[in-house]
Amino acid sequence: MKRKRPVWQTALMYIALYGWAIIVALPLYWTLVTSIKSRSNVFNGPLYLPFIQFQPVMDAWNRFFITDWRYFSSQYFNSIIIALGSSILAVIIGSLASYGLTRFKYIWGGKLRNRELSFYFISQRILPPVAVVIPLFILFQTVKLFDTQIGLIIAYTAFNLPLVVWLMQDYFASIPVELEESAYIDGCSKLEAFLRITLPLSAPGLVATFLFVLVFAWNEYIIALFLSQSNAQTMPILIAAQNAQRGPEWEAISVLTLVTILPVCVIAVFLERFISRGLLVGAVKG
Amino acid sequence: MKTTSTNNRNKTRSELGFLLPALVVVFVMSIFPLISSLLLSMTKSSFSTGGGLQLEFVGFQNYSNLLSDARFWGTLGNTLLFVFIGVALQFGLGLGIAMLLTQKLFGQTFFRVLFLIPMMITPVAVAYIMKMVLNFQIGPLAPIAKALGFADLPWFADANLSRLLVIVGDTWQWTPFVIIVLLAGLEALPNEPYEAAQVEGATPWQMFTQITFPLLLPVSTGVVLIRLVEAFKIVDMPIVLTGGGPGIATETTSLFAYYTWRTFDQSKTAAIAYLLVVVVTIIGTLYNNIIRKRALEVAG
Repeated sequence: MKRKRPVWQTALMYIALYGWAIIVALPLYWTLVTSIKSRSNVFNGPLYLPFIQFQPVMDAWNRFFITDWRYFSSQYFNSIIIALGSSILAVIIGSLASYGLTRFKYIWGGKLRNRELSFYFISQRILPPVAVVIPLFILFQTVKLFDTQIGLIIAYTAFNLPLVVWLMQDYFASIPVELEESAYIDGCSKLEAFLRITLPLSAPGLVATFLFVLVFAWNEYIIALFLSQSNAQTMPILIAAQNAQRGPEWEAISVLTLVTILPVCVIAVFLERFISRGLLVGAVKG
Repeated sequence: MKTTSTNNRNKTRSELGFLLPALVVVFVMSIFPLISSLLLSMTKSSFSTGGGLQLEFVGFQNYSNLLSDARFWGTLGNTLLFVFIGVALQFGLGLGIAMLLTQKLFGQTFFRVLFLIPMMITPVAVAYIMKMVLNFQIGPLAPIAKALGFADLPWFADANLSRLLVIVGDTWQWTPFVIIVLLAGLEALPNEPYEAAQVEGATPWQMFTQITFPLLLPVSTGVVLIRLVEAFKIVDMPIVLTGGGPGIATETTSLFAYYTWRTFDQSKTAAIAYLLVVVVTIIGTLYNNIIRKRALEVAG
């Protein structure tokens, strides 16, 4: 900085930055302290500090992990299996397509070319889920996929596919073709060249894309609402259902929220690194 | 000659193999449902005594009913309100905070991760968190609310306050996405224009309006496009926050479709969903072809 910034400007900047930090952190902190309050303390007005203003209790946590664990664990594992399964599938299928679209020329009936095809794939993301979910509901009931983990895995794979195709295109395009061409000369097939050369080189992009779609699948609500009942219920459905079932048992809701947030907070740390290195920006510009 | 054509065929076949799984998924999970939805939306559906679905073709009747239904227009108005006000807020805040994060202020490495967290939380949980935090009786802001005299704010009884609540929740959740993308965009900007401007003695404000903003346009208009089409799907936030109420004050078109589905009127649900697709497509295309194209020309 050549020019020295006036003190009042720096002060304003700090106020704005820390102000936003409070806006982000306060709700998270409040959820945390509410989860260790007793039922009566929840309604005892605003109590901010455990040990000083109120005696923390683990009632709500115990209920989730011990008393009602048999009930909650099925939803928790549903969420884990469905999010992981669908993200892995979406990354495999999506990166194959994405690679094909960046490397080879497809022409369909003389009109549909790569640009149109990739636009078509990506534009799937625009569709509001309600527009496709009713036929899927009927289809899934017919083929016995309704309210199953596999059913939701298939639905989420489709729902995340556009994101994978979109994010990976930019990444694959940045990898020099010459490397693959030399592999062809050594007798590799296209798939082998892709698996042995391109894929390892794009590992960071793949991991970041995987984490991205994992978070989306983990948090998805409306599709699960249509396509599951009690058997394949996921955490967002369970959380949303607290409204009707229990009235405002805030400490229990806070625990449910926290156990759902914690895994993705860990992911946030990694994602931040990837995004600040430029994943997304290339794709957003395009 | 023969070998070449076999080679070509093999080549095409292996190249098509990359695309095939994705094409199958898109066909089964998107094209088929879209066509069925369209057909369904032109029928009148009812359940027979045996429980089977019975369909009767009625043409565009569902659509004409909806277009004269005040509830449909109301929910569309709500959706547009949430989309435009929400995205505008998210972009304004996001740009400001992203700029702040480039200023090398104390604590920014930590803030970069912290600021990302709201977008990682499932929207239904964000709705509950907002309900707790903005509860002026027992929430953390109660003392301030009491001091300022709005402790009894009727969040859920007043139409506009409920709408505000949804916008606050959505903005809390999605501003982080705008921040993180714009921040990466800002950091990828070239240095030279700034050095030249400094030599010419430009003020920071001039640098922002003459250099940063125009150079950032491809990224900013892109991130707005993404938020725009995503925001049209808004349903999980109001479903938990307000249930669409009071009345239909916060009911979005997707939520209207869901409530209609719950009354077992599959055909009307499909028609609502289709109308929403039409609106999103029109607004997305207009934005892309008019605003975004011009912005990209400005940025060169």
